[in-house]
Amino acid sequence: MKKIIALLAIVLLLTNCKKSDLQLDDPNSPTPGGSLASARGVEQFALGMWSKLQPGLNLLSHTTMMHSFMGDEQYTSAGNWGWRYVSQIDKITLPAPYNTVVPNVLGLTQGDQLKALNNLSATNGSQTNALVYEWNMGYYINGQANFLLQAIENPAITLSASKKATLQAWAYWWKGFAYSRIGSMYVAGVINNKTDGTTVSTYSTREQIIAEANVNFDKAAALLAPIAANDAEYAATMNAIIPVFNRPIPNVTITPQMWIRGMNTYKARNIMVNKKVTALTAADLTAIKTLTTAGLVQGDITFLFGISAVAAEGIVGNTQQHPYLWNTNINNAGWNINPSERLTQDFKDGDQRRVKGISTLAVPVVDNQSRGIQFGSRYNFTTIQNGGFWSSQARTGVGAPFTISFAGSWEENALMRAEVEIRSNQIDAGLAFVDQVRTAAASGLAATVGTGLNQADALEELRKERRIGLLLKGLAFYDARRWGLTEKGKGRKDAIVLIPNSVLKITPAGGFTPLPCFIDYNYLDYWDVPVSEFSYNAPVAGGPAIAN
Amino acid sequence: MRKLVQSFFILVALSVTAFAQERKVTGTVTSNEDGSAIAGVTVKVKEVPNLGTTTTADGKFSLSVPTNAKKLTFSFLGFTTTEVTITSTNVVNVSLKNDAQTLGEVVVTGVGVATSKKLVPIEVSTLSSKDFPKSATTNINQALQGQIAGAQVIQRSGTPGAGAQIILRGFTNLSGTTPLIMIDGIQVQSDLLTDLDPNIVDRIEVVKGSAGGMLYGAQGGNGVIQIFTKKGAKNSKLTIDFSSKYSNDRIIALNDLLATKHHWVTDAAGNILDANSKPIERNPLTGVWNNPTVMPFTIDKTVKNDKTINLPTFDHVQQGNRVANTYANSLNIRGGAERYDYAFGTSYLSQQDVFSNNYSRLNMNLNFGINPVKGLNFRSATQLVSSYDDLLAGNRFNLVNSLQWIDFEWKDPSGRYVVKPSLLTDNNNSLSERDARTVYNKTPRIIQSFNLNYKFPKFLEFDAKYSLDGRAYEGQSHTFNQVGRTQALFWGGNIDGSINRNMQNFRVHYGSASAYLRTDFKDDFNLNIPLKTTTQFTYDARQTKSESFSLTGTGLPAFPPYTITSAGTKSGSDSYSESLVYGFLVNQTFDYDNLFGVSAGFRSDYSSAFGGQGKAATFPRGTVYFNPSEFFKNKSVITNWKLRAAYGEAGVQPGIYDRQVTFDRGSYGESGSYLSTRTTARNPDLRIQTTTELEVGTDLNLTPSKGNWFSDLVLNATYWKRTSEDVLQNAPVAPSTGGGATIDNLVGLKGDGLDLSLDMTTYKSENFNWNLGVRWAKTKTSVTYVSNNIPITNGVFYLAPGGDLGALYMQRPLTSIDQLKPDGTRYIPEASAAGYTVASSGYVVNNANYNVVLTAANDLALVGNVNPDFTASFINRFTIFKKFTVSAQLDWIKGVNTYNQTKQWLYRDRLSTDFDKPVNIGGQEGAFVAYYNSLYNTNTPLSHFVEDGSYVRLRDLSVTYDLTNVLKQKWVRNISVTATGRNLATWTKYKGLDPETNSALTNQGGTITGLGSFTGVDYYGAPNLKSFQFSINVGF
Repeated sequence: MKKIIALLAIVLLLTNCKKSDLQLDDPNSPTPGGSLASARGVEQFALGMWSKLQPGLNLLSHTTMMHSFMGDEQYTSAGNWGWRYVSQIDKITLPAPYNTVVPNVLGLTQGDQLKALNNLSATNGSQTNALVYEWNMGYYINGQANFLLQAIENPAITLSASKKATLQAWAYWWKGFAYSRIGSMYVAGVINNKTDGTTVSTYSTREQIIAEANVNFDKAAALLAPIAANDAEYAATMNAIIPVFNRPIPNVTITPQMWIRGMNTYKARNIMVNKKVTALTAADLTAIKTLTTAGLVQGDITFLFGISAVAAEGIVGNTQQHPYLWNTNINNAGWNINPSERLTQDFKDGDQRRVKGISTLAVPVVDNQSRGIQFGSRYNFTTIQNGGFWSSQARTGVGAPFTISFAGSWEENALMRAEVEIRSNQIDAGLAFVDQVRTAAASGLAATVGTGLNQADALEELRKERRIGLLLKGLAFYDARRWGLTEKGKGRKDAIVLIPNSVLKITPAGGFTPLPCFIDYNYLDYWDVPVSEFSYNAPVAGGPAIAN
Repeated sequence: MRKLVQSFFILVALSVTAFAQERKVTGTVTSNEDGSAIAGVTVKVKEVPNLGTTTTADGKFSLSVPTNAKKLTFSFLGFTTTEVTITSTNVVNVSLKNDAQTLGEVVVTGVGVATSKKLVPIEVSTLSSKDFPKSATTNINQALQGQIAGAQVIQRSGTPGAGAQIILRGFTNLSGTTPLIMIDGIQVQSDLLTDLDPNIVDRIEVVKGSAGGMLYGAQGGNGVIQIFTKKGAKNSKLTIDFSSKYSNDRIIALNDLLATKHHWVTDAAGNILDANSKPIERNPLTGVWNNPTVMPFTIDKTVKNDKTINLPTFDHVQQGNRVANTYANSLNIRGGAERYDYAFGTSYLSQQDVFSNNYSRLNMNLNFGINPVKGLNFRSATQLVSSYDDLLAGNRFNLVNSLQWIDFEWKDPSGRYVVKPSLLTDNNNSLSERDARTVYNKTPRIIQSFNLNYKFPKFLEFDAKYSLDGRAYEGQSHTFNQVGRTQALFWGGNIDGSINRNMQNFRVHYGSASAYLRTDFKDDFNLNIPLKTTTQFTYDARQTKSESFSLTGTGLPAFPPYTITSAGTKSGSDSYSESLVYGFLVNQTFDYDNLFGVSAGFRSDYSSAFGGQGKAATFPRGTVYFNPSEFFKNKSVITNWKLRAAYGEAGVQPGIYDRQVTFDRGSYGESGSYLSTRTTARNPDLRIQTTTELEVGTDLNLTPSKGNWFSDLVLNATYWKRTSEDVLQNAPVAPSTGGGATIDNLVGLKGDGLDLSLDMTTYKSENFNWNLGVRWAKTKTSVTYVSNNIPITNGVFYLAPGGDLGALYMQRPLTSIDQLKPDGTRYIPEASAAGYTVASSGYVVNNANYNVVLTAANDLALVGNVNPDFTASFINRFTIFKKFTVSAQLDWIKGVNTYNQTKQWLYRDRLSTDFDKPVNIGGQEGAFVAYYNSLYNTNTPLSHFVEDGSYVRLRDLSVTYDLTNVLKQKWVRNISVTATGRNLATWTKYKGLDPETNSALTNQGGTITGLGSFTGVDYYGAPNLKSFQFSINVGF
């Protein structure tokens, strides 16, 4: 009996737990207090800014694609993430003798469609609310950047002056980038500097958001200005917070001066893309000129969006998380993401970028999935592996040509300078920048300087070069908007569309005919604030409108 | 203590010797069902309860009784206790009546201690193994389906090894319905029901709600299913049971899904043309078909789906699914002697998958009990399970959604299947996985428990249990290096192949120690009050530990062996977690004779989810029952009638680390690891979620007639009501906070329902018996609040205050031209009304393009619910000449809506069979493509795809022939042969392949969690199987 009692007692003891046993800490994830208590931890948190581009979806990739579709660089008829809706062209008018007007298949304008889908069901369920992705990207970045700024100020850690300035500039730069994207795309936004999980219910106009973007860029520039180009602490910090796959090859550190120039370029962009060309004032042109003169120059290194060779170790987890992987029919057969006919027609004859970068499909895509005749093309992007520029069939390499300058480039700066000059009637001074970009891209095109082009012709050269030279850099929609193409009734003349012969009632019945049509895009200029924001952050009365 | 024991023995000895031994009574105890001898029956002298014996292995007993003793009582678990008068011959042969009516006399689950069903104050449903449907071949879920009122066991996939969704009553939370699974008193992981061989099960007890389940702490809120395995009996002779089953399985495909006509551009000969106006053809090298050119139905509304396909067509569902064979063999040996009993056995299941390859499972079990000294029992139970499969993922999407003329079985000149036979959207070949990938998964698992029990002669009982449920999963997926294949497209993500190895270790340690104090006022205190009390104190602890490692290598060499070492690039990940919950239970029971009883108690749990400073969560409980039939003088019609009520609270803990604010971390390869804030924030303020349940019920035993008809009838009815507070949910937050959601106690739920269960002997005669079981249950759970008052939507589901769980909210086609928007304005302005027509389908159609007009995307309405109005089963068993048994089980799921997402995808590609059906629009009749395609709605939920998913299924139909008396071999205890069919017939209006195969998914096939929906979307699931089976059972 004693034995039994003893045995029972043992069992009781074995199963006896103390309250302290309950303190089981997550062994997989570091705590803020534990991880941010060292300079290295803060650096790793700064490196984590990139992860905010990819919370599940790669928001940078997806929004770049969306801008590209709306800018009619390429097309997709897929409805995923609302893509077919953002490129829901209002109507296409066939040329004489047909003169047929082909309305969009859904019978709604793009704006009405986007508003209709701006509800929680479409956001969470079918994921067809296109408005949420760019918004989320901006604010996820902003949230991490706010936290980073707080972490840098932690009195428990000691950072060298240049490391501290670099990390602070990094946070302000990302905030500037985020607010630039928000303010250039939405009618209103939120300015939030808090780290406690709360937000601000007083919305700001898009102009105020852009101003906030520029304020953050200025803070970053002020922090960077004192740092010498060869500051070793700076270089080490930059190498720690920019992952290898997003660096240029060979790895040349973005110097503080290049970085400042890049922000000047972005500030110039913020003015230019948010004004209709018809509304550009002399003051605007002067401001842009001032900024672009201090902007990126050929040879400058900028922030890049690359592809890691190892999917699990990059921000491009699969072939749908980088535009160059997305748009190959090899990786994503069936999605039929191809260069638009309207892009292809914008290449000048003999442009080597056309020769090398665009291939012809064996069987063209016509009226893809019957979702609109704008969704069709005779072409696809030649992959980088086959000598092309804008498409990759494999995650084979880092550095150029696999990277996208997602936040400004010297080419963009040059073309902004070109535009200022041309619009100021300094035609050749402007064309020189166009030629510079073309030459650098080995386009093989003859120089335009000195050919006696008038202003309209020079602007057409500029327009074409912005289409080709800045292809897939996230600027196509901004350009379409400021040039007025997306305004109702304005649209684009002589835009090539593949018309099915069955529509034209001609033979051969299965075929198609490319015809120069009038495309009335009729897109929203700026988007409504997404439902996922205002449902959980109701705007206070008296604030700016948050919808068109 | 020793003195206590000694005095007890002395007392016993005295009481025995107090009577003169005057005569010796002998006899044999047999079962009235099959006449077999019953070992271990307790035989007692009624007048001298201390005087008794048990029957030997051959059912015999011998007992000396005093002359003044008149009666003997015979009692044994599962049989009605019987009183017999001792006759002058001193031979008493008894045939005990099987206590089938009450499905087991004693229950354990939910009441803490073995309690006579008569005295159980909660609803405990019991399913004895002899009532298992004969077709329950592969797992216990099959045995449970339809057998228990209020227990929905939904087999959502026909893939071997797939678990079932088990919903006991309604919903207590939004993220899961899985009940607590126990085996022989210990807690195990929930998938045991899929892992265990049904042949070793003796009976299953099901407690459906927290009113009973709270005895098991926070994890019992969803109810408890406890499995009791077959054990040997003390003093029983060795028995050997062998069972062998063969099953021939094929998928259930109730409807054809693809259109038989088309609307592509054709030439005069009817050839389908491509964009170059050439007849489409398959590239003889790559196997890829040219894309056909579609008729411009968006521009020409008159385009009809009415052309004959002049190419050979293929039934892809049949191409991808074979008729499969399943074999299950089981051998079990049991026996026992005076001081021990044992049971051991082994079984092997070999199951072909209808889609690919095989699943196999080896089970071994060993259970032995020893009784070294009186009152002390030690038991060890071991279950070893080893499952292995090499099943391919088998994308079913393309088995359904592919152009009719594609032949999946066609192989290119190199002998390979074509990965993507058409470059139209999707159109992959599901079969191509077969020559591009191999997989294996193996999961050895051990469940070991020890139980030590000591019953003091009086008052006290100690019980201690320890168990380990451990498994080590190992899996590998190898996608071949496909460089050099003739087809440009390859299978998988890397043309140069990849290999992934995944290992997981999972262990649950469970320990409990209980003390029971029992008093009997009559016996113990010599008081003339028939009051018995039981005081239970239990302390238990559960610890889970989980770790996993995953390694992936991509870029494999061109020749074997293919290893991660030889891969070009490698990546890996690991993860650990650990949790601990411990607590104690105090419970006090009073039983006044058989008349009434009350119990009350509470349970307190500490959880690691709340850390070392956390407070215990305490949940009270209480029960009461009353047997009015005790007052009845005449029990000839109502033999027993009980009224009962139970109240209980239970909790759901937050996720193990949900209260710990941490960063996400990841790695950028050589750039090192990074940190970031979480998109879904954790919440240090999380509270435990609580559910309270009240159930009231009655159990009624009737013997309405003494004749052949309706001789026995048992009715159980239970009404229950639940409320859940602080239900855990991911609460969406504004993105400008920097994140997307916060884990929160967001929602409140309430639910109620009724469970009815009827068993009766419909007809009974010498050579014909008809037993009928009816199960019926109804339940509804609704949302009482969402604390931020903003409905949560995902996929077709919607959670809103006042709404029901499982509600389908979505867009609808307009059905009248003057239909209004929520703001009161017309959808179609009056001035434009002439441009619209109500088509023969009842939908409003735009005359200009034959598009159906839908309500706006922000105008959603309730259009159905995926939870059934009621579930019912009818279980009939006919026994003819005692040898021939025919049984049939019909399961009826009524009033359930199913979202046919599969059909909606087929509308995208305009391949649905609906496209063949003419519709009349303003006098024009035809299968207008524009009309149907407009309903596709980019996969956004639309009421058009909500179907009545109700069905009646012939779950089991079996014929058993008992050959024991035919063969008349002494060495054979019993032998029977059975022919069975499972899921042989289904009656439904549902238009998909199988109304039972659905799940809660988004329109892209992503799993929805946290919305309280677990079924209801048909998204290319693997349909259930229709099986023809043959089995033989032999006992020695």
